[in-house]
Amino acid sequence: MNKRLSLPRGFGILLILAIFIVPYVTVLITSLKPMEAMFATKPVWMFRPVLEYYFDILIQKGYYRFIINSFVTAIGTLSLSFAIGIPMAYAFSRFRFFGLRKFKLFVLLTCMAPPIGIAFPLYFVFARIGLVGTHIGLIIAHTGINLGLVVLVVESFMSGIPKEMDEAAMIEGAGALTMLVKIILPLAKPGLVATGVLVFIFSWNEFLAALVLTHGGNSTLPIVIPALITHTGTLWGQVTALCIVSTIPVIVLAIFIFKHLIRGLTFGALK
Amino acid sequence: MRKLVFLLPAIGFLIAVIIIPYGYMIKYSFTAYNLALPRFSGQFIGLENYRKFLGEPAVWKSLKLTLGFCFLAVSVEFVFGLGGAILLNKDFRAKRFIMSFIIIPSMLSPISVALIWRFLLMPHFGTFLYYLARLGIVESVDMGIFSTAGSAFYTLVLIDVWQWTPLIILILAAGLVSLPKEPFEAALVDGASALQIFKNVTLPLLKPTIALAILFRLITVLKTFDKVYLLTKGGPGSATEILNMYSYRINFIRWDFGYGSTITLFILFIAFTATILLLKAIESVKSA
Repeated sequence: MNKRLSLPRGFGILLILAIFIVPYVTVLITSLKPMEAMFATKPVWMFRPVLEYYFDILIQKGYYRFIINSFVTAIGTLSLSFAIGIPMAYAFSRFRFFGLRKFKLFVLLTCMAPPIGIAFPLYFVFARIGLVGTHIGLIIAHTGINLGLVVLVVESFMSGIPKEMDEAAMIEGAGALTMLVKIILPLAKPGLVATGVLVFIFSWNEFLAALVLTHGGNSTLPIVIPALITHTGTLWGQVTALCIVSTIPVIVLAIFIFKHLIRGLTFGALK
Repeated sequence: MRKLVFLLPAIGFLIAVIIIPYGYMIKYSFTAYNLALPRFSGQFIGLENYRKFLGEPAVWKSLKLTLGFCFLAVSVEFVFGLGGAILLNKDFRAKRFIMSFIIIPSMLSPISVALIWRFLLMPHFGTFLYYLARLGIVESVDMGIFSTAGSAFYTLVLIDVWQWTPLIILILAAGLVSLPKEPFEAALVDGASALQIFKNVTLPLLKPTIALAILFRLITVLKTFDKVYLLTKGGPGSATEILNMYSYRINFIRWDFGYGSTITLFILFIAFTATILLLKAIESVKSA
């Protein structure tokens, strides 16, 4: 197989790469520019990189706690949506019951709604029971938005596991729960990993629900970034540094899981 | 019976997190409830909110902006996405490596994307703005791209395109790779030109994947909020106040939960209708 590229195609690909990478890289470079280089009227590209903005915003100003908050929320969302969604996906793929299709549609609709459709109603319910401004509240909201996606993708992976396995297990005397844990889950692992990454990324990046349901010390990373841009001025060095920091876990996950992501998206959805 | 146990936590959760809050929202849409104005603390006012909603010009403007944004963004993303997927449709050495970098914009949070572009296009100091002005695309470095009505809207569309085209490229590229080789070989044997092959072989075979990509994008573009919030908060005046932004403003800036519930219900109605319609469209494309 000829693995070399023709010139026009190669050029086109490089162009595409440049378009999608350059803006991000520019901000990355900016977060490393010393003060004088940052606000020159003509963009400066040669300078000695500095890490002062990172230290300032993360440690001196204590923004590392928001990283922890985002992380806690994302892991919590992952756990809760798996705890609820996996049994549900299993039931969808293995049991037959009245109203299955309608129920599936309902579950799908919940994740198609714009976040304000969940964040807003949850706001007044949470306000009454005192869950506004807590991690649990936000985890519940994120799980609510994501559950549909988890159930549908995991279910389509589970449906791909042949039913003969179930029958063999039943002959051995396994009950439904044992079957789920010992047989189905290990086989569905690639799908679970892909879904898990998607849920984590979603929760990490989520903005509106976090804006509405958390505040102050409990805020997650995405919502503190706009707060740094004020009418009286913005510390662009710190803001760009914070932005880059918030993107690192996502990019690492994405590059690492790239292969799984493709399978998860197309295999699961193109059922 | 035991089977139900698997579903119970999920059903319970859905009731608590979706059904009950929606119930409250529906209830409030029939009341005058404004957190900032204590005299409106939930009096029943029947269809008043709905009447107000239908008559309010801001609603229709917002709807128009939202629909315009959705269709424009998705069309452009599709065209560029298809082009990109075709360019990438050849297995070469660094392909995996390059693709995992191309996908980065789609992985970033919308807030990060908004921040990146706000920084690059800010008046006076924006890095890209400088080069745009040098190239003559923009009159001067002093231009406020986000504070001018027309440019704010179209720039938002372009930023959305920048963010999501990579994902479309990914989906379509995966689709292209999974196409069977025989039709293409047969067409070549018959002496078809590249354009003919594309029109009569590639496109029809790719239809399900295209439908999937467009469906996915149309649904998710309705959720746009973060970018608008960070970059324009609804635009100079209300030039970029898409529905989500409008709902946010009514609910969390005006604290008018009564009217706000009506608006949010409307948004949900649109999202659900769009989902169902598009699902039906996918079904019919798949079976065609």
